[in-house]
Amino acid sequence: MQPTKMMRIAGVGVSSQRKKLIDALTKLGCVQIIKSGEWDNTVNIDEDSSVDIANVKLARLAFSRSFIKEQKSYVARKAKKGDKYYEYQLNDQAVQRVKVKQNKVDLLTQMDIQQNSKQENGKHKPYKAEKPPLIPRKPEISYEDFSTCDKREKPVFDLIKKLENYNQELLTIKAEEIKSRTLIEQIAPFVKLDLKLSVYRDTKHCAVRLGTIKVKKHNMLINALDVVPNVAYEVLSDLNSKRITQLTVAVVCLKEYESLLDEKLESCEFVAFNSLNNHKPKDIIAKEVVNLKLCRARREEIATATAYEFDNLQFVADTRLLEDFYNVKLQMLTAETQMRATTSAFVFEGWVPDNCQELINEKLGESKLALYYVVREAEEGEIPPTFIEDNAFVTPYHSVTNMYSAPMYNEINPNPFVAFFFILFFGVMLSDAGYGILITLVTSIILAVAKPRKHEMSLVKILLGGGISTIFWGVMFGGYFGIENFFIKPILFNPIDEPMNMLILSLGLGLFQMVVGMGINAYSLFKQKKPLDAIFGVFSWYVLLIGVGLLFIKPVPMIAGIIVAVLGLVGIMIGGALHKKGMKTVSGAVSKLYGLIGFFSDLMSYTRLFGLGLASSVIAMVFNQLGGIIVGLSPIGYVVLPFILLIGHAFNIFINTLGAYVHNSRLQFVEFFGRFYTGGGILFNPLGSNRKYYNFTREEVTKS
Amino acid sequence: MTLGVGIALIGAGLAAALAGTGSAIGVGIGGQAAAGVTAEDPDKFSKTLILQLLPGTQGIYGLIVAFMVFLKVGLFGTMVEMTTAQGWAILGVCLPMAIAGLISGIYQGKCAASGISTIAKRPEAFGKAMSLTIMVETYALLALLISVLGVLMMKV
Repeated sequence: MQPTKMMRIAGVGVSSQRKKLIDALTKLGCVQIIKSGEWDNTVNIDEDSSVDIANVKLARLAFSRSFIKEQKSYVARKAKKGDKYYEYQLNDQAVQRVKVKQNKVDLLTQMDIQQNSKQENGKHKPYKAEKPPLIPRKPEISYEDFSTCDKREKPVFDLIKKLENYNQELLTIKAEEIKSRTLIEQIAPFVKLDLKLSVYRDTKHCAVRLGTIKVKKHNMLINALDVVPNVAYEVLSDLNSKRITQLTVAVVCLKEYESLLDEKLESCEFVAFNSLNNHKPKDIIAKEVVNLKLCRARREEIATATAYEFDNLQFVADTRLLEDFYNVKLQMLTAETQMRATTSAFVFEGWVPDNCQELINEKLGESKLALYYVVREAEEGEIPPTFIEDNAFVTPYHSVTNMYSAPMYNEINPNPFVAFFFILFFGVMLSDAGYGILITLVTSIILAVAKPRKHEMSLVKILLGGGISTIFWGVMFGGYFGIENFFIKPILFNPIDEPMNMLILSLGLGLFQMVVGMGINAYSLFKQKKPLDAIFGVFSWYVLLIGVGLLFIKPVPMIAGIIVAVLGLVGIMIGGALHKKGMKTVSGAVSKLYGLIGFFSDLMSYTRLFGLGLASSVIAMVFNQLGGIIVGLSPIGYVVLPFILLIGHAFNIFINTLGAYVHNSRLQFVEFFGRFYTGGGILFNPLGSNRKYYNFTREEVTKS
Repeated sequence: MTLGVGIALIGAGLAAALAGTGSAIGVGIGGQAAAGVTAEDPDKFSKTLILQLLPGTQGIYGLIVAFMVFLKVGLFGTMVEMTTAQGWAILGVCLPMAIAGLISGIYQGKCAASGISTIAKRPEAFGKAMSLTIMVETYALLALLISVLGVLMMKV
C-alpha cells in the first residue's frame, strides 16, 4: 500500500577511486546521490570542465538531428508539392518581383543518378530513403557498450562537423541573399539610367541630385522647383502606371542655388540616392539576380546532399546513443559535485531502495574499491524520494497520478485505486463495444510489436485497459457502432431509452469511488494514530449516507432514515470541532456542514459519465443516420457511404477517447484525490536513469 | 407539420448553433495561444493540441441535443403531432445547452489559452493545466444533462 521503503546510504572512499565508484553505482542503477552533509575538514568538489564539454556535445548532437530533419523536409516538399518563391526579373523598363512556381522535382533521385551514373544505364528507379519502422522498438545495449560508446564517437562527430559546415555555408548564403536583395531593391528605381551610377554626382558648376519621392508629392515638387532658378529635372518613372508608389527623380541646378534646392527637395520628402558604384544600374541588378539564382541552387544542393548522405538510420541511432550517454554522464558529474572531499578521501550520501541492499553489497564487494559505507533507516527530518514498485498492470497509471503530483514518501500509494477506477469509468464514457474492440486491437498490436518495458508506453497500455472496459460497458448498454436496434440486445439497459437509470448508474459509480476515497483516508488516519478523526471525519459520513439511503427504501419507515442521517450529521459536526478550542469548536462544526455542499457537487460531477457516454453513442448514431440519408438520395450514395462511416466513426473515436481520458483524469484528480490524497513527492531518480532512447540489456538491470 | 414542431426545431437549432459558436470561439482562442507556443517549441504541439481541443466539446453537446429533438419530433420518420405548448417546452429545455454551451465554450477557451502558456513555461504542469480547463466544462455537461433529460422525458 505504500511506496517502497528507502534506506539512507553514506560512505567514505579514496579520492582516486571516486570516478570508479560513481561508475559502479551508475551500473547498479539503484542509488540516488544527494548533497552531502558538510562534515568537518571537507570541501566542496568543484565542477570539472567535462560538464561544459558534455553540454557542448549534447547541443551538437541535438543540432545534427534537427538540421537533417529540416533539410529532409525541404527536399521532401520539393518532391511532393514543388516549391514557390519570389524572384527578381529584369527587363528594359523595370525590375519586377515575380512569384515563381517550381514544379515537383525529385532531387534525391537526380542525386542518385549522378552518383551511380557509371554503373547504371537506362531507367532509374525512384530513390527511396531508409524509413524508421512504423512502431519503433526501444533498442537495448549492454552497460559495457554504453559506458564506452564515447570511445567510438569520433566518426559520428566528424559527420556532425560536416553538417555544421553545411549549416555555416547556409548561413553565409542567407546573408548574401539578403545583401543582394537589398541592393536590388535599392537600385531598382534607377534601372532606366543608362550610365554608371558614379556619374551622377556634383560637377564643378552644377549640383546633381538623384533620388525618390512619394507619388503624391509630385505636384508639390513641381511647385517647389519653380522657385529655384536654372533648374532642370526629370521624372524617370512612368507617371501613368498605377502600381508604383514612388517616383524616381533626377534634378540638376547651378551650384550657387544648391542650398535652396536642397531645402526645397527636403520639403517634398525627397530621399537622395548616392552611389559610387562604377557600373550601370542594369548591370548591377543583372549580376545580383544571377547571384540570387546561384545562392538558391547552392541551398538546394546542400539540402539534397544532406538528405542523401544522411538517409540512413544508423547515424540517428548513433547520435541518440551518444545523447543518452552524455546525459547520464552529466548526471554522474552532478553526483560528483554533490559529494564532499578532503585532500585524499571523499564522503558521499544517497538513497537506495530497501530491497536493493544485498545487490549493492554484492556488487560493491566485487568492485574491490577501498570503501566504507553504511546503509541505515531514514532519520527524522530526512525526506526520502518516492519510489513506487507496482505490478505491470498498475504501473502505466503512474503517469496519470504523476500528472497531478507524485505521492509523498509516507503516503498511501494511490495507483492501484486509480488504475481500477480509471478502467471502470473509461468504458462508461465511450460506451460502444465496436469502438472498444477497435481500440483494443490497435493497442494490442502496438504493444505486441514494440514489446515495451514496465515503465514505457504508458498511454498505449492505458488505452488498452480503456478499450477492454469499453467492450464490457458497450455490451452492457448494447452499443455497437451506434447501430440502432442491433440484434444483440443490451444486457443492462440502453442509456437513451432509460436515461434515469443511466443517471443513477453514473451517480452510483461516483458514490462508490468517493466512499472508497474516504475509506483510504480513514485507513491512513488510523495509521497516523488519529482514530477519532477517522471515526468522526469519515465514518459519520458513511452513517449519513446510509441514513439518506434508507429514505429511499420503501419498507423502512422514513423516521428511521432521518434519525440515522441526523446521527451522521452530528458525527460530522463533532469531527469538525475536534482539536479546536473555545468558539472555534462551533465554527469548525458549522464549516463541516459546508462540506455537504462540496460533497453533493462532487457527486453531481459524475454525471459526466452519462454525458460523455451519451455523446459518443449519439454522434455514432448521427453519422449512421447521415449515411442512411445519403444512400436514400441516390445509388451513388453507396460509393460515398464507406467514406462517411469511416471518417465519421474515426472522428468520433478520436474526440471521445480524448474526452474519456481527460475527464477520467479529472474525476481522479478532483473528486477522488480530494478525499484523501496530498501528493507533492519527489520521484526517485537513481544514477544512470537519465536515458531517453536506450535500455540496458536484462542482465545488466538491477533485480528490482 | 404543426407549429409546435416548428418551435421545437428552433430550439434544436439554437442549441446546435449557440453551443457550436461557443466552441468555435473557444477553440479559436486556444489555437492562437497554441500556435505561439508551438512556434517556440514544436515538441509541445501534442500537449497544446489537447488543451486547444477541450473547449470543442460544447459544440458536440449542442449537436447531441439537436439530434435528440430531431428524434423526438420524428424528423427522420413520421412527424409527431406536437401542440404549440409542447413545442415551446422543447425550446425551453434546449436553452440550457444553448446558453451554457455558448458562454462556457468561450471561457473554457480563455482558460485553455492560459493553460497553454502554463505548459510553455512548465511542461510538467500539463495535468494541472488540463484539470483547471476541465473545470469549466462541468457546467456545459450539466446543461447537456438537463437538456437531454428534458427532451427525452417529455411526453408528446
